[in-house]
Amino acid sequence: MIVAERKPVEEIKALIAGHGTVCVLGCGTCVTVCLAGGEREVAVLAGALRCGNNGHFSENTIERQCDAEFFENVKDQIDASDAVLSMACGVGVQMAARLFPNKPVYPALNTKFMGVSDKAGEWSENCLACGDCKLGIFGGVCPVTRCSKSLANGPCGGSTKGRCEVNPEKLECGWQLIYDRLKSLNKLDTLAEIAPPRDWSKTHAGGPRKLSREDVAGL
Amino acid sequence: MTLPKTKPVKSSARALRQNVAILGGGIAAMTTANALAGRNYKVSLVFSGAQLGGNARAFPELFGHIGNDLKQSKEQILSTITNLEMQINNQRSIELFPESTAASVKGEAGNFKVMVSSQGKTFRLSAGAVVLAAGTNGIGAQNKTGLTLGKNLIAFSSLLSMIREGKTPKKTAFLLDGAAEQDCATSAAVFSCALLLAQQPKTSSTVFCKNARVAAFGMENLYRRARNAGVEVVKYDSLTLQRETAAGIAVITRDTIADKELCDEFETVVYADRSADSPRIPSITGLKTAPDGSLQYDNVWLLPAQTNRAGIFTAGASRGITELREVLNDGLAVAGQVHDFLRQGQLVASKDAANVDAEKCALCLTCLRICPVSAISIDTKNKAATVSPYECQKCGACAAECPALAITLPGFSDEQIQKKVGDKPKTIVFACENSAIPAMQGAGKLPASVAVITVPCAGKVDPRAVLQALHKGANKVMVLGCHPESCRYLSGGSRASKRMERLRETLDKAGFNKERVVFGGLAALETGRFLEYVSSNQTMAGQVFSPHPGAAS
Repeated sequence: MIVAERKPVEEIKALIAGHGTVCVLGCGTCVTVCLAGGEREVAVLAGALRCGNNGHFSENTIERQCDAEFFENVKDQIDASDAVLSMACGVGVQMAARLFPNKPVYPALNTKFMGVSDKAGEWSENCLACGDCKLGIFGGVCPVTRCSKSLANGPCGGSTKGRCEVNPEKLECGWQLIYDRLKSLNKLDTLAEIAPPRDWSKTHAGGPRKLSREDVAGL
Repeated sequence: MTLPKTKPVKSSARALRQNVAILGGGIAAMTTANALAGRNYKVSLVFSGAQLGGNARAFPELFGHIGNDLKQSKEQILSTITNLEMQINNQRSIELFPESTAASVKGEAGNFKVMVSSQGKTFRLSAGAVVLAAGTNGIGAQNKTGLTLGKNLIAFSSLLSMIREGKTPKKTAFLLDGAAEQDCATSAAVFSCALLLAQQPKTSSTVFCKNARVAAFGMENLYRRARNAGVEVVKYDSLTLQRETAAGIAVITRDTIADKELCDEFETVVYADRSADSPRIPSITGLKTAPDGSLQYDNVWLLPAQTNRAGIFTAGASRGITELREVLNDGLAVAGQVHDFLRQGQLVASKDAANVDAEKCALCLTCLRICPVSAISIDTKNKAATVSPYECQKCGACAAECPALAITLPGFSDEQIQKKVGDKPKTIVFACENSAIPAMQGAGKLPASVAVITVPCAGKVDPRAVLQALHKGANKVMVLGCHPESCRYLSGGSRASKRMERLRETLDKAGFNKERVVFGGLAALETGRFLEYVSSNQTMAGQVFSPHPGAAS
């Protein structure tokens, strides 16, 4: 899922300063699941902003802010507001901005990464959406994401006791994980093959990516 | 006239099977089995060895503190095992499953299904309660030296085999307290072994430790006997090992008593910390362990032997009870608590357990992960979380954390709380019924400006309810719950304290005086502390909060 966290409240206050009524809009999908922008977080943020006399706030949470149709139910509420404070990821914020061209739309969250939840209250980045998945040859551990340097052919010299030199306390060495996993699968020989340079044009380096499915499109 | 027939009340109770599966075959398992059989329960003992007795039977040399010399100690421990075994064999209600391991414990309190693999066969045992008594991996199982075991650095168990085969190393070092400070039983084992070596001709041994633990009956005596026989003891604060020296392996330490660096070479170094984790336990969903790996979550309400899951108990080393005499007594304590659970006969489904609105559930799994008693699971058919009415303790932590507001605790819904908050300016105290409410009982009449709202646990208090109270005009909102380490629902107190801290920070940054929201921990007897909390609030009286005009509530 997409993992996000609430921006510092000071930053949010600065964004919405000067607006009359602000619609705090939650999203019911990824950011609800990662406890950053669901119905509860909307109520807490709006409630706290009200307590600090930061303006008028209305609240709502829709199913997904990445699909235009779900905004139908909140159209009137947004029309009646002076600005939207979106508690969705960056995708949802942009959809809201696209749908309400005359309405300022502000982000209440910082979108962090695509990742897993390790346990209650903890998340880790696992995918960079590089567009050319090679997990099949790396034992199901992504070198692009889990190695701080996105190395494709083994670890750098900064791997010590399974930890990454970029932040030994927090980060495991991605290549150690790949090695351990392939070892337990008895497939270490896979690593003898040199992985060719990655085609970075398939990543965001090739510009914002588009995807179309002609079999689904139409009408 | 005939009265209309009343419909029979549908039974919403689950019978508790009156039998117990004990996983383990050591002294803790044996004493628990005997005590339970004495209370007329059917007991299944599932253990990996061919014989009962566990680590004590495997290594009877390691109990040097229970007798006057090693020989007598060994005889004594073996006769203890024999006596326990005789008692077990005399109990018809105890069934033995030797050379068996339990892979998983599934099912629910009162009706567990233990999957057992035994000599190539797999079968299922049903049991009303489960006792985890498989101990730990034993001494030296977890080598934390950073060096791989090999010629000179060996496991504790390998050393014992060498001694038995007569291949005694000439110069041996024991490393204790490498990962964490060790307990008496580990000290007893290491000093017994060091003494055993010292008694052989032309051998010597040194124990490196941060503290020699002697706080058990007979330990001081064992320690002195070991020293008199020539065992050296070095108290260190830092220690490094260097491999491939002329004599074998070098131990470099700073001796804290002599205050100097020491470097000595040994033929053999033995890593002797007791492994904290218990990898031999079967997979059990939702078992919350203590930070040190003990199977019992660290909370006073679970004492003596209960885990966080109803019907699952732990005995002996798996919850840190390792010294022989304590282990021998442990069986009675465990059996008593198992009996308290099973003698209820049935678990009645509570009508006011937390309930989930399946439509709203986002399947984020937060409730399932934070439920202290693991009463929540996912209903794959409904695609929503579901709460077991038999296991739910009605603490409300899930309802206060659900990001989609899908969970309600009957009696404490948003509307019901809001109604209790009312709308007059005052101090609202959300008071935990296990600590703050009893503490309040002796407090006499409270000022009229203080309104107390009873909650089942501080962990039930929703930040939204606090904000609503402020909004309705409360000049201060207090959340008073158990001290975090003794919360009735394990983690509710600490959860509430951290949750309120986050809210206070949010309010502070939003431009609101955060001191108007307070979390306080107290025990049921601390009436004085309750009054302190409530009266400190009086300083805030008069500063009536006025919400922004026109703001929605």
